[in-house]
Amino acid sequence: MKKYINLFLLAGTLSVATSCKLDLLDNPNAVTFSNADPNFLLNRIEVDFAAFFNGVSDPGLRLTRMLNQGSSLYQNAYSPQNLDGTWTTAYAGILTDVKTLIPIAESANLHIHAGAARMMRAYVLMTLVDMFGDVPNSKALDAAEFNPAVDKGADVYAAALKDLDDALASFGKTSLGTPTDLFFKASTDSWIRAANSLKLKLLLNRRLVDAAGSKSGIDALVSGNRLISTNAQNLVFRYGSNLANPDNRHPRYAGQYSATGGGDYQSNSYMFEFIQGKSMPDPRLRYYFYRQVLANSKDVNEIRCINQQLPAHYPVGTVFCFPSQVGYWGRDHLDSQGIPPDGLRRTAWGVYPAGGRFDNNQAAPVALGVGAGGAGLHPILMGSFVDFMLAESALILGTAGNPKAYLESGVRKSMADVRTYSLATSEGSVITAWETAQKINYAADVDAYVAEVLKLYDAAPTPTEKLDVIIKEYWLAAHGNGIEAYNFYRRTGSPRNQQPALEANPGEFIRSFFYPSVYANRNSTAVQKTSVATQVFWDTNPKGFIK
Amino acid sequence: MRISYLLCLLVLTAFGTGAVAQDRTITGKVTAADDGSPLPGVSVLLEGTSTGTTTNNAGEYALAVPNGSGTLVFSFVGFAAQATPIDNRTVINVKMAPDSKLLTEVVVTAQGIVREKRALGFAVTTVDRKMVEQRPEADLARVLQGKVPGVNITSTGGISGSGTNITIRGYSSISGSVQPLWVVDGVPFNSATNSRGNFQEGGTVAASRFLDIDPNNIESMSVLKGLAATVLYGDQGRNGVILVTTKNGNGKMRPATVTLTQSLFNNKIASMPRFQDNWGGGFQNNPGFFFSNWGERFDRVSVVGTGLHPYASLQNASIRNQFPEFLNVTGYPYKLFEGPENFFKTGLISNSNLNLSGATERIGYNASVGYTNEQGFVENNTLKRLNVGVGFNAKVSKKATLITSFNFSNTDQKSPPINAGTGNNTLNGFPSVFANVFFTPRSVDLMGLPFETPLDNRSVYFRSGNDIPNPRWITKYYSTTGVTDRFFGTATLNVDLMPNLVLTYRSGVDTYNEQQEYKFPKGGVDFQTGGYFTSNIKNTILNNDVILAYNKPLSDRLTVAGRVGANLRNDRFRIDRINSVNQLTFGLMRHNNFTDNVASNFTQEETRTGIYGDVTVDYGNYLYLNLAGRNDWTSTVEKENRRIFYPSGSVSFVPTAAFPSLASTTLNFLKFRAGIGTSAGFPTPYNTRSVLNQVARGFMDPAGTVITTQSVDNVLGNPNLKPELQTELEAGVEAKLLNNRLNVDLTVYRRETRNLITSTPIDPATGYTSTTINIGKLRNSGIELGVNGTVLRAGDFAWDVTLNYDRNVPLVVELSDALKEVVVAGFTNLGNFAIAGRPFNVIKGIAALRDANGNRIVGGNGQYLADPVIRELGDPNPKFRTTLINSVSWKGFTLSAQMDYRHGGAIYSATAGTLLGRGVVEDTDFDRDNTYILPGVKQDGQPNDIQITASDVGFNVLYFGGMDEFRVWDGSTIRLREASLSYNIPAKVLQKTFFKGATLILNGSNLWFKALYFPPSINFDTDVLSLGVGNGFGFDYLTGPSSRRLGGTIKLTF
Repeated sequence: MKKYINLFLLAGTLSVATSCKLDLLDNPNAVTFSNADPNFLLNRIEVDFAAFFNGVSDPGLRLTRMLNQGSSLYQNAYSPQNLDGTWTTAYAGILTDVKTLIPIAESANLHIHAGAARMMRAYVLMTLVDMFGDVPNSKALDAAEFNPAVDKGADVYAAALKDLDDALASFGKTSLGTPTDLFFKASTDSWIRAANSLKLKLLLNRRLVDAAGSKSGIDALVSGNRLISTNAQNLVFRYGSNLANPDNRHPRYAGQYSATGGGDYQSNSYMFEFIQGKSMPDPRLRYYFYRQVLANSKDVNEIRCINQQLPAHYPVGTVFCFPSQVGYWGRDHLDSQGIPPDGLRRTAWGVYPAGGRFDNNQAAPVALGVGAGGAGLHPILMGSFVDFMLAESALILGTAGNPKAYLESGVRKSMADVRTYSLATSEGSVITAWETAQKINYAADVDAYVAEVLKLYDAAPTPTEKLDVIIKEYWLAAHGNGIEAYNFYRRTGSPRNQQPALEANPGEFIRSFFYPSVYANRNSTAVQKTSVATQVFWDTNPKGFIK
Repeated sequence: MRISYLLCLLVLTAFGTGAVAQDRTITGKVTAADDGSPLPGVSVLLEGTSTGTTTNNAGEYALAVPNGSGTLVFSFVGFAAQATPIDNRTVINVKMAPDSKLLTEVVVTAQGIVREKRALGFAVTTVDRKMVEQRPEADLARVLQGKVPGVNITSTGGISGSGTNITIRGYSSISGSVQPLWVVDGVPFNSATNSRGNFQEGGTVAASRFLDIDPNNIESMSVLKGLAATVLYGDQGRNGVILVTTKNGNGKMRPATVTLTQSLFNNKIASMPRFQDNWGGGFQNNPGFFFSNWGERFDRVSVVGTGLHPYASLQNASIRNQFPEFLNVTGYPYKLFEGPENFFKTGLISNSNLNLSGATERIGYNASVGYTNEQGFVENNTLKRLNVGVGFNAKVSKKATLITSFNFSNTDQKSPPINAGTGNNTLNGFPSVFANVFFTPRSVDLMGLPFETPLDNRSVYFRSGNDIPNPRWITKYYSTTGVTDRFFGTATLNVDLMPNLVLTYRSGVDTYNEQQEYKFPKGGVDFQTGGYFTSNIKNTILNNDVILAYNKPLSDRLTVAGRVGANLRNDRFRIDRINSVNQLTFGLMRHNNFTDNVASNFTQEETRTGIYGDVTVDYGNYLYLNLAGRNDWTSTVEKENRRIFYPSGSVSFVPTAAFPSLASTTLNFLKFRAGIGTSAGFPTPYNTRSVLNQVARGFMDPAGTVITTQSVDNVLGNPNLKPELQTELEAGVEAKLLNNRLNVDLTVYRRETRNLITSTPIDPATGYTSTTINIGKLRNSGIELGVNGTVLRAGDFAWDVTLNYDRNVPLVVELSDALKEVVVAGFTNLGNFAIAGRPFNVIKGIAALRDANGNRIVGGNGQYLADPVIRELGDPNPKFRTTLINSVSWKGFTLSAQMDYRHGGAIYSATAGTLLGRGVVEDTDFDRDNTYILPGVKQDGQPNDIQITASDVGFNVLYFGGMDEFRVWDGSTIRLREASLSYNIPAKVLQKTFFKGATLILNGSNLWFKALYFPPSINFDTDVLSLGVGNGFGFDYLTGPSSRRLGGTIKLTF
């Protein structure tokens, strides 16, 4: 008896002890860290960076009336989960990959990789502050700390500034290899200009809390003379027209150009500025907006407001319901009506920047693949933006240069960029054919437009009103970039006299967003804001400054 | 398979070793008097001595006795003891009859150990095969609903072949699997639900793989609920064990019998809402072709606008022009069309089963064939299943028996895609047949309008933007299919090494190949250019057990039994996927008819090995002690956390046997039991090490160059991950009263899980979005009660009643400093949460903002403001569940009915929210011409006085206003789960035929239900699980209309 038990135990123990099949811990389905490739990592950072830009730009576009805001109250416009994706892309996407890439790149003397990663990190950090205020940074990205506490917004800005300086130092070193680089094809000069221009953006944003620091910093940048100035130096992310595997189309295009249409509503008040804001239509109008119909609907089931009076709280002359009578079909600010079947009627994104159609009065509905097929771009930081920022800085801070000259340069660069990019797409022939048929001289139109802008600038009696002229042109040039628009709107209050919300009492304007629910609900140190009227550190403008 | 090799060696060595002869040896076989099956474990004792043995698995014994006469006493609990004088015989065969006085049952427990029920210190529920066969459900688990206290079974929906969630004694883990272990014929059986995606990616339609078992081929089932019962199964048994013995695997010797059964049922939708017929589609009382039904009254207008046909207004000219016949239609009516009422059909379910069994002197056999052909209540939903099996029980030698069973199944399931929706098309762009059906505006002619374009087969529907997929187009062209070929077989060899020592070696394999195909031809709304996604899944379990069992009566009063065993289990899973998009030619579903293909594959392997032991002491047939333990090693955690030991113990005490004076006709039998059990839960593989996520075609630059990307995966690997620990205390009492007419079985338990393996979302600011960690403590406390009795017995008439009741209270006792709450399932802003101090799985979501006094606050537009912080909206755990089964028989007739009641448990229902918010059901047939003021206060604190319209109330505020609070209801439900009428044709009638027996049964399932607190016109069935099989529940996302089945069966025995 006993010998059987002993034998049995021996057999059992032996088989367990010698079983080497328990070493099944490495996931056979994924790449391990020892196989990390700095080129592939940087590629992902750049692609995620574009996604991050798009995610943050969206609410900025809507709040500044560059796109429709589809909620009736500010408080309900962005619930915490609306920005979960942005938070996740920023931290779990870009920032952790940057943190992984930098040591790998530096140990291999891949300094463009390291510099580009640092610059994108700086952009992400400052943008997070712009959106949310205080955010985690020094305690973030630590696998041992599940509840990273926030840093003061000013400190995160300082960290971003240091990153930009470090990036500039990296770009100054000799690199052993070059990345694929979707932005500048590894041109260090372009990267240096982009990093300097981001410094300009950062310093200007801080001007309300540190005017002297901003002035000296910006003066140094101006004298250094390595800011984005030509079209090729623009910090843009370019999309293609491939439908799947991968879908590399501009996200705005992908959301709108399909058999059922739909997607974003354009903003009535923004379109109005291009159609009737000046004595002539804006030369960029047909590039920015594509009409699917050439006449306004008469069906209340399609546009409920057509029979309605101008709301009592709208000043007389404010655009309402329609920006014109020729088919520009958008929505008023904070219009929360349900969606009627107008997906193939409403005005769509045009060829710039989404890679859609140029409006040559064809009035065909949007469809999959038409226009430039989605080969658009994200205007992340343009030469024109740099000029507008320098104009503001020169006017308000007294930095070097003539604000009026910067203003003119900014408008002209924007006009040129829009046309240059659009002509290079597959829609180029449509544009030239239209111009020929209509005998349009783009350059002459731009000249006339610039003259009118400068006249307005000269006529503006006070610096505040001159600034309003500058910022309004910045706003019109910034189509597709809600980040800059949201910042300058809070910083300067311009463009002033925006279309009011449809609701008479929409609540206080969003001076910063609720923290995303992925942070507020998961991080035990998080304290959700009680109101969207909470201001970020650089916004010292009074309560109720903007509506 | 080193271990199996060693074990084989061991088995071979064991052969040939015999008992040492004494003076003379008596041999024989003990069988049951009623069916002739062998009785293992019968105590054989020479009267007045301690010389004794027990019978082996074949019912045989050999006992050396001194010369001279004597008497052998055969005793076995549940059977009347027999004393037989030996005289001069050397072979003594005995037939034992059940002892009607004792009425004790024998049950199969862990690792196939057969034990008398009175000896068990823990709760085991056996399910008679009569309770599962000839049912309208092909899914064995769904048949069990309500029949076992403490076992909670929820279907993901009423679609044929959809998944089923089973939990026993609550949810004992946050992220680990809570599904019980299935053991079929002694071998673990994979019961996974292989969802291709999550609940937003069509995941709820995937079948749970116990679907491969034919309920008509079941011999017996027992459910082991507590840890004291399941410890021998290791961590796999921690969620309870469902032991299934098929007719092929039961190893019984039976006279030759052929049984033929044929069932036929119809299958209808049970949860059809009651619609209102007065108001049509539109918004703000304006008629129109909208999603919503907030238009005008039918008796006030007769056309929409100018009366154009909806297809004449289609904005897409290439679709519009394919319907020239509609372009000039005028006066298209605005009237009631009954859409959803006619969308569903009546399916037919046919179930055939042939079973053949018999025995010769040395071999018993059983063979079965079953075929099920089930049509759903939606077009193109079918389930076909073929089961073929055979089993043998062979006496290999005097000392060895071999029991084998081999089963093959082919399950072929087909369904239109089903995906979560909130009442506005479908979530995540994955199509769903139910996303847009139920709220079809009353003025839309769902069944009359063409659903496809005549030239290029595109979906077409009433909205001018054509942005809703036509549900009829979906049922015709879209399908998701799963075809599974499965083999599972076992071989068990029992060898009597010595009179009291039995060696068992059991080896089993369960392997299946599941071919899933998602077919989405181009022309739809969600995958406009078409999609074709195929997955080939292969799963194999190899399981080996070797058990050495010793059983010895030490004296008249004391018997000791013990066993030690070792187990090795290896699981391999592989999935190969090809995803293709952009179809070239309409309809052809081949990957080479698509321009873009992406292939991927995934493999997973897991090995567990364990040794276990079990000792039972039986003193005087009234006091029993059981101690068991198991030590496991597993491959899913790092080396230092790999080994874990967990013991269990239980006692059973029968006062009515210990003190016979206690027993009376009032109290026939009384037993107290108590047990403590522990178990471990191991994490799934590959959670301990972080990886990079590589995408080969991550992006393409405008020039067409493909860019490969790598990024740090969002899941943080945790090298310190260790098994979670469960401890359970249970106690119970069993009694038989009133001349055995009333049986009571009561269990209370408390289970705690510590170091919960929690795959938790974490703040992305950590650099990761989720990780798997050990935190906190979860406690399930509960009570299970089973009562059955005979209310009346008079002559041929009998009325039996069974009442089951269970209540489980799950509490998250603590989490950790690191995490204040965990999203168990759903979305971060609407889902099931684990929060310390709260019931497990509470529903949190978006609520209206309230002031300090609890008043809801309205904004300037008279509508509620949303609270930026999500709030707890309800506890989805039912307070209790109870089942009442009444059975009345008279002569050959039996009428029985099962009623279930679920008390409480909140449900977020998109179905109810949508039907109310879109204004289609009777409950929305109110005065819509009026304006309404929502109760609440304005932002300045003054009472709200802002008037809003009926559409605004129903759509913009309550049910589509983004506030989940208004879509949560109490899920209390009363239900007539089953009813049947059967008739056994009396033997007298059959005497002259060649039939041995014939039975006719009429039965139906889910015949009636009422969710007590839902608006009545929703007709909502709470038996739905839109999150799919897993740890979340209490959510309905328009995925699960339920089914009602009615039909009959004829069963013939030859």
